[in-house]
Amino acid sequence: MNLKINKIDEFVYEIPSDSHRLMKVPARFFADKNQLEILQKDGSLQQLINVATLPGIVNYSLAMPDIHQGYGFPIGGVAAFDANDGIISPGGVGYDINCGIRLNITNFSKSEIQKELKKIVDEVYSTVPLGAGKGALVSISKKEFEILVQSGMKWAVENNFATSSDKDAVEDKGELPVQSLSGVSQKAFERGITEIGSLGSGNHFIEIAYVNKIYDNELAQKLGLFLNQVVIWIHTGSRGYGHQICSDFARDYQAVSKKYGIELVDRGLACAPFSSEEGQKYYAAMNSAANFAFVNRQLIANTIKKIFEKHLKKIKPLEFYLLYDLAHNIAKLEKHNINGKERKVVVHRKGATRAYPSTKLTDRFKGIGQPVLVPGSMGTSSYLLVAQERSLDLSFGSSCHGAGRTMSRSQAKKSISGNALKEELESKGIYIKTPSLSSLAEEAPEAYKDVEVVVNVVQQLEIAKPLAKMKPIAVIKG
Amino acid sequence: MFKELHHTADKALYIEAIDLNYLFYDAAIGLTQLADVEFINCSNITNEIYYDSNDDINVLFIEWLNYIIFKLNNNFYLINAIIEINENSVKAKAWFNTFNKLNLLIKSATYHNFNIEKKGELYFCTVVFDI
Repeated sequence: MNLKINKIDEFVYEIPSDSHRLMKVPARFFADKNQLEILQKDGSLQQLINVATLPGIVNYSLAMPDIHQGYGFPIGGVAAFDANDGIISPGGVGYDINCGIRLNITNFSKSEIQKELKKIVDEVYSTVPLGAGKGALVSISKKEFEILVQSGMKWAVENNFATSSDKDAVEDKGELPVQSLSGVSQKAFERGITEIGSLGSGNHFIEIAYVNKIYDNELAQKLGLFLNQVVIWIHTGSRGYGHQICSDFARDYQAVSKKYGIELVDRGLACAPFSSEEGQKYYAAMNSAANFAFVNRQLIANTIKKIFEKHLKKIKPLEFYLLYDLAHNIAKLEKHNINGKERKVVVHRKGATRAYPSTKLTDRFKGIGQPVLVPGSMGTSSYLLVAQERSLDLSFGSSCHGAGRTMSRSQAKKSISGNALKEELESKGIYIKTPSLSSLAEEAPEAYKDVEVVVNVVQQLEIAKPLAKMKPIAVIKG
Repeated sequence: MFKELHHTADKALYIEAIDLNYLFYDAAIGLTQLADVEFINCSNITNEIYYDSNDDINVLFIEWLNYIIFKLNNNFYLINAIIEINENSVKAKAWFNTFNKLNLLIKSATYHNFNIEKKGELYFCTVVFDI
């Protein structure tokens, strides 16, 4: 693909808006110069251009440094659309609505849990439903399920699955507004109710890690972090409930886009005006799936906490806190200062995280900055960053969400043996549990970019700065 | 015929057939192979009549694949189907077998760059599946 790419600044590149007849704004991406060649091969920049053609897009179609090929929007894509004359697109959010990640921290050090680690991991593996099969951690009625998806973490607190402190540590307190469930199909309810509290498969995982390096002692102390501390990462989303909502709207929006005269360069970008009845219907259904996902991760964390308590009580009482929980795939109504004027925009983040600096926060992270969680790939480090002021100028308060793939799943499966990978990781002291070795191979560290390069780009751009680095000691791969 | 294409984050299939009936059939079989199921105790064959609708053919194609995905996620594996396509409607009778283990959970068939096209006598398309 021969694209005109202009270098705007160090790590900032732009494809001008005359690159496609329908582009309304330029397509801008953040990257290390060594990533440029890979980016031009995988189709993700074309997807970024396609996003720039959508009605009401503001400033740029953006991509974070972990950009890679997805469907509709690229993964790592961020785009803001005017709330009055812009659109909302299910393809800009993805099928796994609020696929996201959380970081729980404990009062245990790596050496303190070492003896119990395998027993803990084995029990988590056999307790939390995962892989391609079905299963739920709780059983509730449809009426109760409707309350859950409308109130998110509030439901979890009221039902003793979470504390109010947990709720306060979730993006938007884990309770997104749901005006109506009229856009949610019966099939979505059926799929969701059987999967509340399940990990799923693909790139979903539970990782037990330890704090390997601290970059800012003062901030780390404020957040309760210390060297060698045991932490838990949980990466999953809204399961069949979110998938079905996206499938339903992706289908219906084929006709809706036509109804509103929206010219699409890709059916995967089918959309509706945000302010239209159809747009509001999806927005409410999507938020309900996001609420489901916040609760899903909380239920898994709560189960892990109980298993930790059971195995570690003989050593000392367990303290187990949620540091932060955030969404990777979502569209949110936000206010941003655009060219000196505050505007309401619908920010789509697909494989990207919100990254609000201290000045834009009113919660417990005011004075610190929103935690930005950047998991690596199995076997590599993960990072806890905190958002910085420039994220508002550069990226509508957004940052990267992970390392980003470089190798296709089929290529990874062909070139890497699941068995050999498991042995290799275990030789590095990382205990692995998975229901499928072939899926493990697809998620091999070699299939991903170097997370350090990705983190360096957001750090250099002052979008977010590293606070701590963590290394895995056990991974449960869904 | 179908073949898997490289896709960075998800899975993609290219499908080619002499008519729309075979295009739908081959896509469903290709999708089932992607899911990589394991048989330990095969049992219960079920018959299903799928649907008769009057939507855009592209939408019907993706819906058909999403139906197969739904069945896969409920432990039913497509072994055969008779598909009739008349202008804007699709009717299918499908036979499913049960299986024991699904190695790849496919979430959905997406509309990404999707269009059924015809070149000479051949129909073809590429589908990206969300994993």
